[in-house]
Amino acid sequence: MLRVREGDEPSFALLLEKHRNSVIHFLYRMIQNQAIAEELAQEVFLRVYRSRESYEPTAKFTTWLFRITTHLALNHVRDRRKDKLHDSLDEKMEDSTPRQLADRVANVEERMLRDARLGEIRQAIEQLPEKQRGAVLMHKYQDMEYSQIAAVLGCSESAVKSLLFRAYEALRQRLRHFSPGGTGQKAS
Amino acid sequence: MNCILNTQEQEELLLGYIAASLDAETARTYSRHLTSCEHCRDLVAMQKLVDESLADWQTPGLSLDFDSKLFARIRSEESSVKSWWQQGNPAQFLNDFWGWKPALVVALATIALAIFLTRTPDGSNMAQQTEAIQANEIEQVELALDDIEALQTLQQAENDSASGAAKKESM
Repeated sequence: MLRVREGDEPSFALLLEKHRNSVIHFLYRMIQNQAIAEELAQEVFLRVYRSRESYEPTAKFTTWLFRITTHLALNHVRDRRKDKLHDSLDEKMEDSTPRQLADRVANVEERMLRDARLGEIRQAIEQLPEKQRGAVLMHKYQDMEYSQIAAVLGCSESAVKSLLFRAYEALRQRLRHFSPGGTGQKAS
Repeated sequence: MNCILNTQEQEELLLGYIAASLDAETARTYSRHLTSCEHCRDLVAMQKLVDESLADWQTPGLSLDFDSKLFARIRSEESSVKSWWQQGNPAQFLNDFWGWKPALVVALATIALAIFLTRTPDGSNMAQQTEAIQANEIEQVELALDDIEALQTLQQAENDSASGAAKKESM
């Protein structure tokens, strides 16, 4: 990023290459819409480029990058909540990735169970409060430590732990009926 | 449930255990605890299910034109900034500005003239008023002198007629 700050455009291309996927995947799981995720990711990298001259390496670059990303994602989630009900599950199958070879071997029942569980977890993630959602996604997919998530979200480490514990508790409750000893009923 | 751990400890150990980020001693202690605590065993099983489900969540592939779109937007932003200030050449910018905006120059000149004209009459009025006052004062002084002269003439005439009458009486 320091080379980008000095106007080195190839370094920006390298930076983009390195961080593009993690930003888009995070946004996709936050928003659950690929087109919007890519649009927001474009805005993230535009903001990075625009602010390259004022960038100061006071924190890890990924923390700074995810602060911009999370800010845009949370704003979008808040804006969308105002005018949109839950319709994301309608589109969940259309943008699924192609099946892996192992899936073809798995029997139909297992596949159906896995799809149902995946649909459930996606819906559960979508229904989490936005900060809990962001914290879980950074913890699970970006392998961020509590301190880094705290820096991104602008809160204390203990607040992050609290967000994560409540979020995971909600997800466990949501999937309880899939466990071998589950009741078969959805947790409310 | 008779777990000796409080909720905070349960959650921290649980997440660390699933992520395999606990130190060796803590992991061994927690494993021993799991053999005797059904509640924590259940938590671990459920958390593993959540973890596996999240791991199954794949994301779609990236659009092929993502980078090209981004660089096009960057170039577009940069060129709009450059055209506004002509790559940091103020002289060129000003030349273009004056060349392309004659109407603005005329408008500015008109505004300046209008301000000048609206301000100037006030000044000339004051000068005219001062001149008028001064002229009026001179006229008044002249009139006063004329009046004094007329009075003196009248006084002289009265004196002359009085002395003429006295001579006649004495004769």
